Amino acid sequence: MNDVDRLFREFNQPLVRYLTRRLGDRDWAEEVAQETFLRAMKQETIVSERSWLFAVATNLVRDEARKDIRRRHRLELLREQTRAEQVVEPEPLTIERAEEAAVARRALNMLTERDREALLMREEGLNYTEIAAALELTIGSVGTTLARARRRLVEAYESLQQPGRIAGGVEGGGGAHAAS
Amino acid sequence: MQHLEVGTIHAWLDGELSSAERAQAEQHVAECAECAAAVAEARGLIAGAARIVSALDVVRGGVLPQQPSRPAAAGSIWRTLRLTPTRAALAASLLIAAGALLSVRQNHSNDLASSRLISDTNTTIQAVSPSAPEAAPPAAQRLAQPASVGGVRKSPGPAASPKVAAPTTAMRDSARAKTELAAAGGSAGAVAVDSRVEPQRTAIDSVAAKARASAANAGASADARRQFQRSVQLNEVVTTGSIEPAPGGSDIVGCYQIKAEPNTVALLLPGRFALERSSGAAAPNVVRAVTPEWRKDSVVRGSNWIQLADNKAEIQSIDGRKRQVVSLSLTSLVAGQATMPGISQPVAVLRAPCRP
Repeated sequence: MNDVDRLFREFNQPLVRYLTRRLGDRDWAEEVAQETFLRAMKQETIVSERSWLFAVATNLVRDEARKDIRRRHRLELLREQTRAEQVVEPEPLTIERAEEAAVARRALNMLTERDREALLMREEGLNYTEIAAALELTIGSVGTTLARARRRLVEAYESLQQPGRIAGGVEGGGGAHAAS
Repeated sequence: MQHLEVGTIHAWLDGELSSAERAQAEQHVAECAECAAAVAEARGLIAGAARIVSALDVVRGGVLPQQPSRPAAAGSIWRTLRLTPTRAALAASLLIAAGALLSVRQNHSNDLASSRLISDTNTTIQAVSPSAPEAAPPAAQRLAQPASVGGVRKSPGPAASPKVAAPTTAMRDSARAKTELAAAGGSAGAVAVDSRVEPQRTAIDSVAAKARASAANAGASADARRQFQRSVQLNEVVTTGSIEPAPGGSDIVGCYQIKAEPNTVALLLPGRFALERSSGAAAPNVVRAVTPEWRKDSVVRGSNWIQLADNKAEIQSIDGRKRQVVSLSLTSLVAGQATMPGISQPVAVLRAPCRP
């Protein structure tokens, strides 16, 4: 088994999960993960494998999102139409789960890009050093970033679940707890 | 006194502080109530955020992320849920059918009880005054009059079928409540009750045929209903503490990870969790979130568990109106599987020692 095989076996699943959570699209996530491993094949040396893979995947997402969001949107609409014609009756539970996932995604999308990526990387088990390397942060700021991201995510999620509240009005609550 | 910064607190809880920093933080928190509160809050946020992120795993392929620059997408619940009108109509029909089945069953039980009670009443009335049936029926009798439920088989009244099962205490209570309501509010009260029931039954009429046609779905609904009832029972039992864990089964306590593929399972539990026994006899056992380093974290609010056997447990999670029961079954010391409503195949579970 060569290095790329090992990388794939070890990191494909967490990487795809990270990307799926980031993008909300499993197919797209797998495409980006494949591209990431292709780039890993071309790379001669990788010092910190996990942070390198997550950093490349994150950059690919950013680039692709910037470049062809319109084209993809059109294709997705066409695909949606086809799927709508083929779809079998969904179970009620699926709808409920989809609703919950949709609220979670909306809450996640209310975070800044950096907060979102740091949080998702942490949920995939990356340590602070790896997150700092992947997102080009200082290690000391990772804790603050995660604290802010978690608070905002929970507040956003709760605000979206409460009818009558304005979904977008999540106040930041990041900074230092207190210092005197 | 220099308080801990929130970033330091999170780094500490994430196991990212050096031993010296950790000792310093621990000492400070032990002496500072304000920081202790901040630590408790941070634990809740970590567990809450983990749970929200795990909810994202219920996504299918072909969903675009919602971009802030696309207000139409963000504002449309239809797009958010990926519902076309056709799919929404199908989903609504299934939901109503499932609700109708539950409702019919409930009404059926209540009607049985009402009929039985009213039968007793009628017998008494007839004994006193044989002409009573020609008079205007009492409010309670009107309550018991069979509603027009096309396509849904209703139980015959007691006069037609004397073999009505004895009502349970709950049924009797329900019937008594209806009778008391009718007696207290007079006929207007009874009519008001009927008027609330009738539209529901009309809705049942309209979906009953569809429900029958969807036999497979009805079977699934029945499973879901049974699971729900079991869940309710579980909740009641656990909260009253009347179920004791199976003897000699302390080995199921530990840290677990549910190895679910994204797209397949929406867990109310965190992906990693710990089963921990409660300290008090009457208190429910608790479920804790577990960090990626397998350290126990904060208690998962709304979750508890009971041990069914040496290698089996049921974990219940409640988040708002959502309730989920996960049946955990260990096949070895380090592996097992979990089942829950809504998934056809068991999900692999990994067990690991909790780190201090």
